[in-house]
Amino acid sequence: MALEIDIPRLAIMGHPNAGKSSVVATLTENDRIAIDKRAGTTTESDFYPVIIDGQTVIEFIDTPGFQNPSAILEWFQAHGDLPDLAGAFVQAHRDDPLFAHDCALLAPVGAGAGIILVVDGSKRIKEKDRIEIELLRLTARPRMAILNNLTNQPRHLHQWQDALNKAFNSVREFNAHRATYAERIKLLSALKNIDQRWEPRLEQTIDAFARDWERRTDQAATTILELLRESLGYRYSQCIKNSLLVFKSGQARAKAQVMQSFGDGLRALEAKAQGQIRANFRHNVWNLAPDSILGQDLLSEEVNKALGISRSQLALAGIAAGAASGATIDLATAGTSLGAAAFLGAAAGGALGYMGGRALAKLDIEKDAGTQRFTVGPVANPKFPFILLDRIILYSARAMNWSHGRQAADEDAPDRVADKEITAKGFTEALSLPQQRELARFFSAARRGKFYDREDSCRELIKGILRDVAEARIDSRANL
Amino acid sequence: MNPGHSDPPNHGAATDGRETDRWTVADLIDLEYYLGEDEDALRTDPSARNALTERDRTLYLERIAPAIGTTAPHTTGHRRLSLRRWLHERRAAEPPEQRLLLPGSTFTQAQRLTMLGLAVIGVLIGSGAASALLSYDGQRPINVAWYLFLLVFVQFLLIGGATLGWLVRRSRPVDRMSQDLTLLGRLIRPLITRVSHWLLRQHLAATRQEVTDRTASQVGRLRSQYVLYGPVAFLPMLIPAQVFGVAFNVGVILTTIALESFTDLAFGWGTALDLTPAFIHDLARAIAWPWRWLFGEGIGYPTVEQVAGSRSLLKDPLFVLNAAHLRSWRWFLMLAVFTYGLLPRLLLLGASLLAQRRLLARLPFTQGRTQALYARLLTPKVAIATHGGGHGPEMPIPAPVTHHGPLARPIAGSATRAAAAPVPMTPPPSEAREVAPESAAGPEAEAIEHPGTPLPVAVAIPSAAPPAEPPPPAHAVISAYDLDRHSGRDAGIQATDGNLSAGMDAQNRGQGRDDDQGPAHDRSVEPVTGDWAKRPPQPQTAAIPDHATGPTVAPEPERIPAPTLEPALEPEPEPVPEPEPEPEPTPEPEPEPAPEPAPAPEPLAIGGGEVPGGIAAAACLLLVQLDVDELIEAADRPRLAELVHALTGWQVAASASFGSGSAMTAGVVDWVEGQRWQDPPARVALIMDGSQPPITENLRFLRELRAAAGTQAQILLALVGDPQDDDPLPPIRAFDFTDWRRKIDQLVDPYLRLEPLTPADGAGEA
Repeated sequence: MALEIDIPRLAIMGHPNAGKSSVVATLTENDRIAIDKRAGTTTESDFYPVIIDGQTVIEFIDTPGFQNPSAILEWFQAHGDLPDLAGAFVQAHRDDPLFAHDCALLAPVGAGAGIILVVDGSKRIKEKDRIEIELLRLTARPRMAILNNLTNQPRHLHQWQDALNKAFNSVREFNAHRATYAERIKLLSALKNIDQRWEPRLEQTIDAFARDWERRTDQAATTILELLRESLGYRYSQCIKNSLLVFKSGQARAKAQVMQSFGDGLRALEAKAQGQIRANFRHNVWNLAPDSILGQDLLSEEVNKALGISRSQLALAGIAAGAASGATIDLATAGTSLGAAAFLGAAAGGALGYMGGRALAKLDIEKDAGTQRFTVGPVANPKFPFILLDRIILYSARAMNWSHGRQAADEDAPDRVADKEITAKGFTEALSLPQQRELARFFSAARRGKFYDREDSCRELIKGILRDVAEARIDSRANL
Repeated sequence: MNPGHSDPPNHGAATDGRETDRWTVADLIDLEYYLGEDEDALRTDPSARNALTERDRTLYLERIAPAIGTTAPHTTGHRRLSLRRWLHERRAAEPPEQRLLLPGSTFTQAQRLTMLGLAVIGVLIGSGAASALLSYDGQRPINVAWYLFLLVFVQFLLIGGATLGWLVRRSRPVDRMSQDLTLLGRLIRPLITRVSHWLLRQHLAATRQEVTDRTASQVGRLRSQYVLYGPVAFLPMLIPAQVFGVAFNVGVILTTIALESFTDLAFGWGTALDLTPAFIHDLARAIAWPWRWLFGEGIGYPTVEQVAGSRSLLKDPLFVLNAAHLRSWRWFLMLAVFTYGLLPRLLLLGASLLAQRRLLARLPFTQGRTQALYARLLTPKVAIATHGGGHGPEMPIPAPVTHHGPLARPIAGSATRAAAAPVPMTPPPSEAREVAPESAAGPEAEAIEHPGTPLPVAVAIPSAAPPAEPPPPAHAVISAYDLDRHSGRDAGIQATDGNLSAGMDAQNRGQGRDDDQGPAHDRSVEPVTGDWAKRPPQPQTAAIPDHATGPTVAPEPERIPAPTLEPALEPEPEPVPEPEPEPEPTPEPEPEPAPEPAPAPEPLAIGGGEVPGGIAAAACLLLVQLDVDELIEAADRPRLAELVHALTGWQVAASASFGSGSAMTAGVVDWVEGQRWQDPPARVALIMDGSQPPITENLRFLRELRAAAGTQAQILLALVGDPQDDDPLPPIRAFDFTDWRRKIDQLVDPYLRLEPLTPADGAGEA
């Protein structure tokens, strides 16, 4: 089964549990690859061809771990004169069940695949590692080594680098559980160097990945704009019979219920957008840190504090008086206009009604024969859109930077690589004043259900943030 | 997802194919229509995005790219061509009856009909106006001034204004105004829309119901489309207006000519002002300036006499005037309308058409919606397929191995049973299982006995020499290294240096192994191991002296003990039964920590590598995996022995390292096999690095060892974790341990015990 040389095939090798499957999953953005923390989850060579426009350009092969490295090495050394050691070994041991895995993993090498050796850089170099390095060297295939350092244990890295440099064309560090888009692309670029013949294909792959990523970024921006437009223009109304509003308690209940439904509507819009973004970045498996701000309620005080832009920035952007942008009657007024002295505190249920001391939205009540129509919305709180935007960007950042090989990560391991530190608060807070103003104008147009003619510049702005997040130019606030 | 394929009536394609870069307003409308349709699809179902991406990319690759040729992507030319081609493909994909209903073609028809209608109306109005103005009752002449004023001057002003507006259209306010206020905007656009709707209804009436339903929902979209693309949207309205103007003038001219040809008309002029005929003549001459060169005085415009002669005065009756003079204005009027009415209109019409074409040719198609489409066309479809589910056969578990060498014999001899003899060579684990019970039955008794033996030992140790360390292992190993250096024969041992050179050594080993086939070879290996074996004895013998010197430093004592010890040991074996344990305990504690003595060549001399006098009942062989061994320093050896003791109650009689290459493995296995045991079922303690998952190689080693040591030999497999700090023997992670547990269980070896070497909590101390 000779392969055309022009399709680079890369066998990801290493001993059991070195993280081969995680590397493949991350490289191919496929979180459906079964990854198990237990050793030896992969027991067959699996092929993951990257197909661009129906044409296979590169193929990754997830192999089982070495089971008999010493025996392989000794066999190689004893048959050093054979041209294709790996292939010959497979030939010779095909029928030996003890070598089933070794044959499975050497078969692609015998068929011409290049080698990506994955080693766990957090551990000391062991005898078996030396044996594997040596035997892979003997195969004489183009080869690269990946130091998959899943922990923050750097002390063996130098040793590894030295050992690997002797036998591999290229050695890279790569944390399959933390790798971002940018790191993935860098790794792929590095593969170009291990065999020049692969360069065109790899370039094509990288270019396709980059364009695909750009397209997804653009889609994410569209989703985000859509979310903002829908949420800011969102209204909820409900007819309530007069008979239910006779008593103050009934009125309060009605208001609370309407406000609750309004909040739920906003949450549903956000959830919908999040779902789209997740699908966009191909995540099926996903878990949030329990303390993440994304796990908090959209309308909670914590979220309000952590995200959005500050009061002074609001003022500078000329939107502090956001309420003044429309004839907003906030809940307090609505309460009195109801005729009852029912002050809103009890009525609206504080958290929803107020964010950062400002009403979220106004409540209108229309009286009709026998019923009253309660209408809430659109959102009038000037800070809310910034919070919403921050949150969805945070979510996107998470989706973009959540590597697909992470499912097996031991999130509780004491020595795992920590997610990055927080530097600032929200993303929007870090924007320049004119940019904030631009967004504010877009928000206010959205609030009135109008089309903002410079929406494109907002889109570019959002895409810029997303791009920066993906390429690690700005902190992804992974811990928020 | 490319319906264009199965669409034979592609007659449009041939013509369309070559001039794909030409855009028409109808194309724009259709483009917008399709973009809108796609957007609607996305809005209702965001997951449709993939389908769209797929469709557009496929279209691009299969139909568009081949048609476009070599134009570089991301240039304006490429974008225009691609989009135009895309539109063509989309249209071709429509069922034929729907294709007529596309808003673009509807618009084209509507525009054509509107223009035709306007032209007819223009001609009618023109001729109406002309005939009204030229009505001659024979009483008084037709007033030239009225004719000129209404049909030439007013019209010319309108045209001039329109032209001016067009020229300054780039200035914003004018642009705004012209869009909102012009007659065109107000009148013609709705007109076209009406006509389109009417047309659609006509078409719809003739089509099937389903088509009707589908299209009816799209009609609404038409309304908003005329505003798109700036001036391009404006021109389609301007052009019919020009057509109307042209038609109007044509009507006027034709009527004028007709009336003049078939009736005798008298033209005159009058004024209450003090204007001389000469002035009027000059005026007429000035007006006639454009055609003066062609039709001179007397034809193109009246002479002074004619002007004077056509002046009508209230007091004079018509017949006073010269009929020839009265007729002299006829061509002047016609030429004035032609020059100032028709020609500018024609020019404007031409200019509009030209402008439209230029604007269309310059559209960059960079607005958001087309950008998205263009990106979809150009973005490669990236898919990653998955072949295989990652689950093949489980990791192979090696079958039990049988040794037929001399190794099994000693045990068989001294004890009642033959080691592994019964075990067949068959690979499948199932057989292994069958075997296990068998052997288990017999040995059980013995197995029970063994536990007995250690106990005393355990007791003994504390009492004997708790502080003392069991350094022997250390000595053993180190001595082994030295030996290697001396002998240079045993590659396996060299490997213990932990160099990368292992590979090269392996070759030597391989050869060595080949030679080793016979028992003789085993011997050859054994010398080395023998050293280790030798060592242990030393401690034992040393026991007595050590006790005395116990606390004192290790190094010196060893020397002395070594020789003396042997005798001490020998006696012990005789009392084969359990009781003996006591002696051994005492030895180990001994401290002979000092490794240095070990190198002594003497051990070499001792052939066979057996622990002299056999291994005491409470003692064991300690095998340390290379990865662990290379980290353990002399000072840690006692602790290691102690940990082993804590787990088993055994003392370490001798130790060796293993784990690199088959020669080394064989050496170790032979060494174990060559031992004599005072209390037969052998006892072997293995220290392995548990942070590396178990692999077949490890399991095979365990099988080999089992074969060498005997079916019922007690084997302890103690796992250590990966050192994170200075502690070389950290506890193993629970997770790794379970991993090992699963594999070891599959070996079905009832005499193999798996334990973490260090308890999980108390890491450092021991």
